[in-house]
Amino acid sequence: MNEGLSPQVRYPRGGTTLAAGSGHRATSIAGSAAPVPSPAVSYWTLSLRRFLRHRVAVAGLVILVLLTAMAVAAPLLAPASPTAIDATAFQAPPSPLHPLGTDSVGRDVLSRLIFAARVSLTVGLLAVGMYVVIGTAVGAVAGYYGGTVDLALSRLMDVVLSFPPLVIILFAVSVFGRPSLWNVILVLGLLGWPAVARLVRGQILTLRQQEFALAAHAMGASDAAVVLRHLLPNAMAPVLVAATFGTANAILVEAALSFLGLGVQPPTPSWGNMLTDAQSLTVLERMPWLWVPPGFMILISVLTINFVGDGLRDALDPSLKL
Amino acid sequence: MSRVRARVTIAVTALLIAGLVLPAGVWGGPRSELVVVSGMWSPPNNFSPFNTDSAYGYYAVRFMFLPLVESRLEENQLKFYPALASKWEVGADFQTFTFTIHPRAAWHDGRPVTADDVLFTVMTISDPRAETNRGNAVALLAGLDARGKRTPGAPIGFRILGPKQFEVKTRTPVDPQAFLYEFGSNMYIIPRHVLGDVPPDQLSRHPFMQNPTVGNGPYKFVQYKTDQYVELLVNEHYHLGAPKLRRLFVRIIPPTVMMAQIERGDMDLTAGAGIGSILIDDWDRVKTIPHVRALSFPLPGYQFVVFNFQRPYLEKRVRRAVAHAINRPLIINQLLRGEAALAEGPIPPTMPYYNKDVKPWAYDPARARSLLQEAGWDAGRTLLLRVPTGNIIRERSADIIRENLVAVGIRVEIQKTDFPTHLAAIRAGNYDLALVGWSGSPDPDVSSQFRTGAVYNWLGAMSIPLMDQLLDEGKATPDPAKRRQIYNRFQEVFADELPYVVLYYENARNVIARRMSNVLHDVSGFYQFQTYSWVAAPQ
Repeated sequence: MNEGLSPQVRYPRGGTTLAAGSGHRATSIAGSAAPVPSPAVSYWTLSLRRFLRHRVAVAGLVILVLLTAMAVAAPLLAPASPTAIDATAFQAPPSPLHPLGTDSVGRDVLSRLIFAARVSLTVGLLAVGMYVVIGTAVGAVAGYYGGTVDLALSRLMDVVLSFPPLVIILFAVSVFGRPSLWNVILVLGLLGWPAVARLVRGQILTLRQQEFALAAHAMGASDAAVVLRHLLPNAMAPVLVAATFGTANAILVEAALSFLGLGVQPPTPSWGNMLTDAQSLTVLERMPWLWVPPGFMILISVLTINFVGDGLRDALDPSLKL
Repeated sequence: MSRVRARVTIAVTALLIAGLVLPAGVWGGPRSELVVVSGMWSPPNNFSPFNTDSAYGYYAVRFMFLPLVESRLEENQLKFYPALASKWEVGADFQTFTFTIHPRAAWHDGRPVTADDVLFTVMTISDPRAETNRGNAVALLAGLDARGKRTPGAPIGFRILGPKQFEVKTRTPVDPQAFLYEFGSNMYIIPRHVLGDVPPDQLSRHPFMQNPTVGNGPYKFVQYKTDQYVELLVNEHYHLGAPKLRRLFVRIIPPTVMMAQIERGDMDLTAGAGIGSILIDDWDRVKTIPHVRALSFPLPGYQFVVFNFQRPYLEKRVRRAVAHAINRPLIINQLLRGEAALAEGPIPPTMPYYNKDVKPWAYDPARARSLLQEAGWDAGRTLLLRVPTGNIIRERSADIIRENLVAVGIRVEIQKTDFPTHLAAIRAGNYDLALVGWSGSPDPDVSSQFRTGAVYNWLGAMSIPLMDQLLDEGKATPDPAKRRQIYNRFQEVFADELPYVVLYYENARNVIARRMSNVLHDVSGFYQFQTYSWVAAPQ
């Protein structure tokens, strides 16, 4: 599909110059036969450097990697099965046998905590992955074609944005009659895309007027080629940032739903459904092992993801100087 | 300048603190008044004595409106005490009942309560156009159908003998206890002189149901602050003697806050099981609070696993295996801290017709496994266990039940949904096992659940001919001794067939301030307190 493009014009993945001040990575092709020789430092390298300089973000990333590793290796790390009931210890305080105590039906809190990381990360990544794909596609089409298409898609975004996700999820649960992890992911994925679509649309709207895009078009590149090869790669930085924050949000929504008993189904542990134990004064005041650990995990995961998001935003923003 | 600002800050802070503290004063009234505060979890949506939406509504109604008699459980025997009626007689035919209304029983506006008011109440409840949930109270009367509705124009079994005396006749001979319980203690009498001219189909929405100023009970309605509290004032002319408390508040308050209020001494008593009681997690703690008494007593309500009888693979041996597999002693001793009882049937262990000789199936996983093997259980089959949200102990018990069943080789998938969705799924037959609760009653007639095709038979949709036969016989037999034999047999058949596996009969866990005394409870509805007898010492 790129037959009409000369090798020079083809967007080079790792070796473009940073067009300082323009706000975009753009191959400078207009008027010149050959591109300016690229300096050694690419956009991504530059971004990485900037990211690494953001200490909090790096710390966040490290914790996030550890959390992910914990989720993946859960069966190896957990001292007990997350569903096994210890008939002799209900709501037992921490002990050598149960390092974080047991919950209200005698299950090991630490093991549940470790396994629950799987749920939260799955929801976060899949739901956001889903809406990034949808949002990017819709945003690109709207931004690139403009006119009536844009108008129609933008109104659709407005409509979808006006749905309160929690209410839709509760509704979906009653309609399907079966709450599950997948329902939560599906609803979050199907409702979250307009935010991404708006970002992408805005980016494409400005990018499509840039010389490199016009040139690609003039050389006979198809619409799909222009959008996929030239415009989208330039529009993805803010999407990446939005996706990071979206992941944190999805984790919170899952926790809230599971707390209400309408998310992940028992006996699968999730940080949200572990918190359902904490609904009485006695537990709140005298049994902190039932709610501090899952609360802390939600806090720490959401916080670190947000830090990473901050770091990414700063690192990927070309208007910020080194 | 900064000093002025500091003063403003102090003033604002003081106001804020006052704002936090002062509302407590709302309960005070004049300092000398004897005020009692009771708490329940959710608001009532109206105060209709024959159609309020829930136990919350009836809790409030019971302060202001009386039934004819009060029912109390004393040593497994149902006893009846005067309320609006001072006397009642049972005819030798087990069909005719004569009631005499207390000579001084009067409405809050001073008019006497008469037999005419009782007739008006019966006519209202039995009117097909009226919205009511008290149908059961009149369903035994001659001339009415099983839902307690009449054909317009047709005569009913009610005869006025005098201004304060009337006679009712039942369709068939009945156990007097069953009749007195339903008709006598579950029907709240409404004033004809206030509501008599309102078309029956508009009664439910009549302003009176939001502002029931003309009652006949020990307390008078003052006001309802939506979602906050109901305020009640003593009825000085109450025919059984003016209550000792002057003002009474029923506060609407979530469980966690309720516990904090009890600790602070701001709440004198909880409304009762299901509408305002102590959470199991707080139970040990509440017992250590010096100024209140923690009161637990058995209730007729029970939780159970219902089997979907439309699933051929849930045959009798499998049902028995489930009963053996579930560690009910663990659920009762650990989850409920011993505040519950076990029985293998729907007739409460505290009630007169309970059959002590029917023993619950023991927790015996090995026996469960061999029963499953006998039944040729397919180990690859996954059962869908539906669990409603809302009752935290029930939700926790589901996790234990699943582990127990998995341990004997039954795969189980739990589905938690909100309660209406849960019931809709059961009605649609979309389940294998489901957790449900039932608020049992003193009368052993449980045909509404277990008789083929009856009103609540969709819970399980079982059809067991022997059970049907016994239930029909029990219903048609007025003689208590003969009834006992029939229901003893019914309970044996129940334990053998196991349409439900009853999990536990949970105790009521209430709190009463030590300064209060003479707080009796009766078995009507949710085992509520008899409000008129309350006494309290000043704080």
